[in-house]
Amino acid sequence: MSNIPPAGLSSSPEQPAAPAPVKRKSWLAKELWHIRRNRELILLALPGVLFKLVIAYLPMVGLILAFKYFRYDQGIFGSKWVGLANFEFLFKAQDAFRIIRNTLLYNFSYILLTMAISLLLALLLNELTSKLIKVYQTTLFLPYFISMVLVGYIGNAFLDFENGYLNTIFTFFGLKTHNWYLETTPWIFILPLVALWKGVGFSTLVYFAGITGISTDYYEAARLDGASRVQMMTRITLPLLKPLVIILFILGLGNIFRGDFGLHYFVPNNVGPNFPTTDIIDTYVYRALTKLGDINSAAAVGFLQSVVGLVTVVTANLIVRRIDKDNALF
Amino acid sequence: MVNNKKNRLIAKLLSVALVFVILAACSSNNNGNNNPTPAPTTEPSTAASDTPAESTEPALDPVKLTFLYPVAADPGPDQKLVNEEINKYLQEKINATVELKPLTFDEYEPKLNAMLAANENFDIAWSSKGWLGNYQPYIDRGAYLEITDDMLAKYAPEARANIPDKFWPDMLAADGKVYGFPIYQVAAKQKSLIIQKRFIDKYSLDVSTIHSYSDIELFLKTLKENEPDVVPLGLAQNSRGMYIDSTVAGTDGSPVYYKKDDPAYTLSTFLNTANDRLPYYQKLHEWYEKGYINQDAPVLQNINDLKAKGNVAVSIEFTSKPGGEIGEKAINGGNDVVYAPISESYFTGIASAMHVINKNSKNPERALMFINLLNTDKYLYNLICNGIEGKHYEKVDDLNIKPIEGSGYAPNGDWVFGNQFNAYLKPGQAADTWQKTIELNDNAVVLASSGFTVNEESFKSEVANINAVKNEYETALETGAVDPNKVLPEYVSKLKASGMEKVDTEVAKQWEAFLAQKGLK
Amino acid sequence: MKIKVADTFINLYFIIVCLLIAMPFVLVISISLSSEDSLHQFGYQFLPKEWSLEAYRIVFEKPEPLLRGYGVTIAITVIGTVLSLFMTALMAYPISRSDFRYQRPLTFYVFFTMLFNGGLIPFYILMTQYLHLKNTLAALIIPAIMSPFNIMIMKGFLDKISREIIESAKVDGAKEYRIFFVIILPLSTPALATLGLFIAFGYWNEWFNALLFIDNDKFVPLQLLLVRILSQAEFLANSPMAEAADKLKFAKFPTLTVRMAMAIIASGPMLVIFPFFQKYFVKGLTVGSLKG
Repeated sequence: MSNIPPAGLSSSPEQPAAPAPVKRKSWLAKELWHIRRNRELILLALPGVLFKLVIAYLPMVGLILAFKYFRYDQGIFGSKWVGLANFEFLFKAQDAFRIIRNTLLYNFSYILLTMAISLLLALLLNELTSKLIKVYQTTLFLPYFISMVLVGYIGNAFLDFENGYLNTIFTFFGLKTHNWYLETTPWIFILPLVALWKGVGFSTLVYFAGITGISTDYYEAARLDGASRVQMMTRITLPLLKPLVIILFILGLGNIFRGDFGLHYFVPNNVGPNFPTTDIIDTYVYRALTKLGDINSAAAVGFLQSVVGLVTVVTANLIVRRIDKDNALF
Repeated sequence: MVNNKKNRLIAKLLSVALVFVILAACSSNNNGNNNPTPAPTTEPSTAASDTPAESTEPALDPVKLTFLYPVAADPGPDQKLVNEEINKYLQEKINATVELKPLTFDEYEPKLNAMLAANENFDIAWSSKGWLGNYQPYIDRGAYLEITDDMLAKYAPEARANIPDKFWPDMLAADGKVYGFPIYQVAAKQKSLIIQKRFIDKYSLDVSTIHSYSDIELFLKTLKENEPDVVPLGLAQNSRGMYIDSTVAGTDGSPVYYKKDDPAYTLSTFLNTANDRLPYYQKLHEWYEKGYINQDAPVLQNINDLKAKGNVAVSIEFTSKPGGEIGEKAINGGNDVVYAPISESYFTGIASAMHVINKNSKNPERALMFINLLNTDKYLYNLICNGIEGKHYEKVDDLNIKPIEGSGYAPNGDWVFGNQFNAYLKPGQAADTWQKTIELNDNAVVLASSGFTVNEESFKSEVANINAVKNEYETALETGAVDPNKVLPEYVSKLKASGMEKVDTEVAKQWEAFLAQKGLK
Repeated sequence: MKIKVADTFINLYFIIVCLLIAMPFVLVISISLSSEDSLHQFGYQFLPKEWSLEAYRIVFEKPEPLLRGYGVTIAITVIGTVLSLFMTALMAYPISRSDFRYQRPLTFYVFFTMLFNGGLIPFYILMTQYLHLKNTLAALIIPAIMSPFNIMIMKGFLDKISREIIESAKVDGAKEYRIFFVIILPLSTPALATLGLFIAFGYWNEWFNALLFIDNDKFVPLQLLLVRILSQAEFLANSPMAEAADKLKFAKFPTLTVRMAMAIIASGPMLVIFPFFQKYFVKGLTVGSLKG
């Protein structure tokens, strides 16, 4: 499987192990030929490439701050190197296991949950023909407008011990009321629910837009063959959505080590007793470093999160490529 | 496959090369553009130090200063107008103009940080110990200029004279040098219980019998039984606890604590005293369980949100200051309150608010002269605090003013601008407010630890983790929400595992050195 | 008949889901319309016990910053969305072409910027010292022009466009830029509409760059005003400086109703923008319909 070269490269033959100097020359010439052949697409990509170079890649020199002790009077380049000292606090943290576990598990659950539900919603939306679709879409998207600070307030309206709606409902059904913020187990359900509430509109819209882009020809043909709606859904729509699903999934994996700070800070409201199930890397780092103004340790954590994200994504991409090379991201 | 890899490598190499090219281009470009402001770049350090302080006036070149400070909210549309008025006066006084840059609290830190890192031109900033623009960490990173005794004597002698010498050591950074000028204000802390007067009267509580948290229990019980709609004791995440060990010297924010009667000043650390605190935490938990304390105490961010309802009978004030009851009344939904002190009055330092000078400042001398005026010149200080007379406030008499509502200038931050004892009194403040505050300051117990700053550089990773652990347990214990018999040992063991013992040993070492240097040992 | 029943069920399902989702939003509106006292007395209610427009009156008391904020926000949203949409599509198109030799390295080149960034300090230095964008509208627009996330999603949409149509255009002698403008862009209307919405939404919510790069009142966008109001109460509540702050003023800090009213005022207009984009989520605009 893996020996088959990717489609786009099929024109270039396998490189034999030839003597170095000769090979390099011919290779360079070949590459120039390729560049000329692809020049139109290269030209189209060029503005974006240059823009990214200046706006995104240039500031990346700042990544070295993760290994330095930054002083304002010495600047980024003049400050002294300190090796891995900035990573020390994270490695020494008693809660390292807890926050890493929480970050990974929550992120996985958010990715999978949002994907499943929003795919379902998008497919169902596609089945409808009424004008109501627009109303549904808008409503699904509503929570996206609210900042996490406000979500925190709203959450409080539901979870408050004395006046919260949740306890009111529990009392109505004769169940035991809870002091939600002081407990650990409920958060395993509350946080994904809030994440879903906040994010499902976005993904649904992406998938729905993906579905609207599918040619009606496919459906016409299927209808002539007497396919049912469910069959069209599973045989046509879903497979054609696969690239989008994979892209969203891989994009999600890129941030697997980076938690949603707003969600995990403002919604559980920074209440110690619920930390075992709510604390993630980002909230922990915030609590540890906020008083110290330690730019370097913050940079170190960010660097680590990026590296883990990179490794995860590259691995996932490799796996995808093994299974189905056309759907790999790069 | 092979090809693909090579492509990637080439793309990478290309981009790296390009980065360097652009970097080089940009930095050369930068050299030409480094001084966007037309301010004359004289060498004031040599020029000014030649001139004696008395005769500085005629020799001064015009300069432009920039002053960054935090405010709670946008001061209003007349900010510019006031700034111009200040400049008129400053030009006359020290031939300088100043650009005022108020930044809201949440903006202050990221912006100060970015501006320092980018070497942006500003002269004066605002700093504090332990809060915004945190003094020590910024000094460690070379942000602020050292203010020497010489400089003070030359450029800010009047302002310096206002600060009692016994308080000055508080300005020392960990390296024993001074990097800021204090904004003199209330500098003593006394913990009190705030009790609503109507309940004191109704249940005839004798406030003079209350000396510690435990003395209030009966009152709380009475309230719980008779006042169903009242929160007997209101606590929140920002209440800061009320445990006081009267044998220990130190208060919130002290760098260290020590036994009062111990001539060796042996440190009293949290780990050593955790067991002494157990009864206190147990009592709180008991109160929480009985409903004396609001059930959302560990969840509530801000106690004032609860107090605004007016039904919190007792709450904690960690810094009761003269005249504070008036402000408390407004916070408590218009109900009169009484302070019942539960601790001694401690000197807590003059470094809780100060002005600092940017190490990059082109005119540090003039900046210091401006600071001098802010702290001594009544006209300038009240102009920057209250705006223009007749437009932003009305004068009632020589001491009292009345702000004009919605006038277009209200920075509401007398404590960011300068010596607060120069401020006009606002409605509701007693005529002797400042005298009383000064008395409180002067009578406060100055601890042996005044002037001691812990240098955390060698154990900062431990400190970071300890901060996180404290954040997890402190509020829960201090609001009584959790069972201390279970949680306190867990807390202690986690602190130890995070390196608290190492930190304590290191602090003790530095403390010994400090004592030795001070001649106390 | 069978289809109709299914439709009803799906509709019913959506109505329930939407009700659940909208509930908290209704709460926000309700709080903003309640009197502060009734909130203290009865807690949050889905229908205000005591109606009051006080919060809105307070917010609109000094309308100038608010109106200016709207102006700035609308300006950066419109300009930013157009520019960003164009740049996003322009970048996404080549990296969606599997016959493009540099597709994979360039995809990675873009994706890498989603994972790694240099942090606040170098970015600030770049923007202010080298690009001289302090106190300009451009400082609010440029940072978000090419979100790698959006480019990847766009690539995902474009991946589906059938190769044949591009090939046939090439056989006709069309240049790539012509194919991009004449065929790809019109074909991607639903995708562009979706991304346009996300991008517009991003610009509408922008405040952090404004916090960093804007010093004067002229260019302060709406969301920064909102963030300032939301955060100040918390900030002071948790600061040791509360002791020094004037307690009289402390008592007057923006109340919950004002915070909620601010949120409504800030996000409301996006609800008007939404249908504008929705217009383009049309089904049937496909390769097939263009072939003819």
